[in-house]
Amino acid sequence: MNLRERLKQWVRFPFGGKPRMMTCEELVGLLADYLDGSLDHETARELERHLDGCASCLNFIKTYKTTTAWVKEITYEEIPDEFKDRLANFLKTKIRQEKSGGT
Amino acid sequence: MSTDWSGLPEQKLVELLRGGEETAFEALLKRYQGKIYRLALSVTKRHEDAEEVLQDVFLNVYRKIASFDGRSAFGTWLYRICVNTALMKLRGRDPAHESIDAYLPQFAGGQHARMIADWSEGADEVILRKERAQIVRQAIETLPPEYRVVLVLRDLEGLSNGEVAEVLGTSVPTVKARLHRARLALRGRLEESMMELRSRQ
Repeated sequence: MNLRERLKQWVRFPFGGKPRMMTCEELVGLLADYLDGSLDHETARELERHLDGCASCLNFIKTYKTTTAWVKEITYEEIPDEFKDRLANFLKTKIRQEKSGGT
Repeated sequence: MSTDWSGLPEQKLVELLRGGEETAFEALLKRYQGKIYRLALSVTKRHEDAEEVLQDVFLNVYRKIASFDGRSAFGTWLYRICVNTALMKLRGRDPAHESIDAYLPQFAGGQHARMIADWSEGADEVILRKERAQIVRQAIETLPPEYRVVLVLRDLEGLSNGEVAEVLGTSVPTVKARLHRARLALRGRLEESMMELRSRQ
């Protein structure tokens, strides 16, 4: 049984069938699936019920999303033109050597 | 040799290269050198290493194109060669990374061990966007390579979970789990930086 199934069972049937609130730790463990929409409907509802009454988890989700948004804004520098020239020359030389049977 | 093949679809270029057309190699090089450089730089963190990785990668592409079976996309194959080459370069020289555990959320009895604040609200008033990008970049650099690679491929290069799994030769659940932990650790690092900035105001 995988983690999600185990959690689901635990959440739904803790003491003879009465629903039990999901803990913060469980919520954080399910967050990625929740945000990409791959969490099943029932578990997502449990998660949202927890969020309604937990400011820390609400803030956790907000800052988790912000983290991803900020990462996506990063731009890495472009390849410098002199790198491109050196790369083209390196490859030309190597390929010529290999074709002529050299090392 | 002055044929301009830059407009040809990738698959066609690969076919031509396999048939021995070197102009196709030049066209593929032009198309991918920027992306491969970025990926190599984000893994190795050093320009000189990234340049060497780039040379090795494209030389390997030329040598091994005959063994490229087309089951995955050419780009995926290229990324795989790049990631493997860049990780090899890191081996032995990258200092031991501190564990990411310290930046993962802490719990006590299933609850958050302490109150979590929304440090992202009004962030633009606390820090300039340019400085913020710098903090994020530094935080990414402190991640252990196996986490950094997943994060870069997913969030910066925009690959899907399935494509990242193919590049790394692992499963989709492994990619998802690693990405989640990487984001949690980054969140923890950013929380530390942002809370400190706020306390100084």
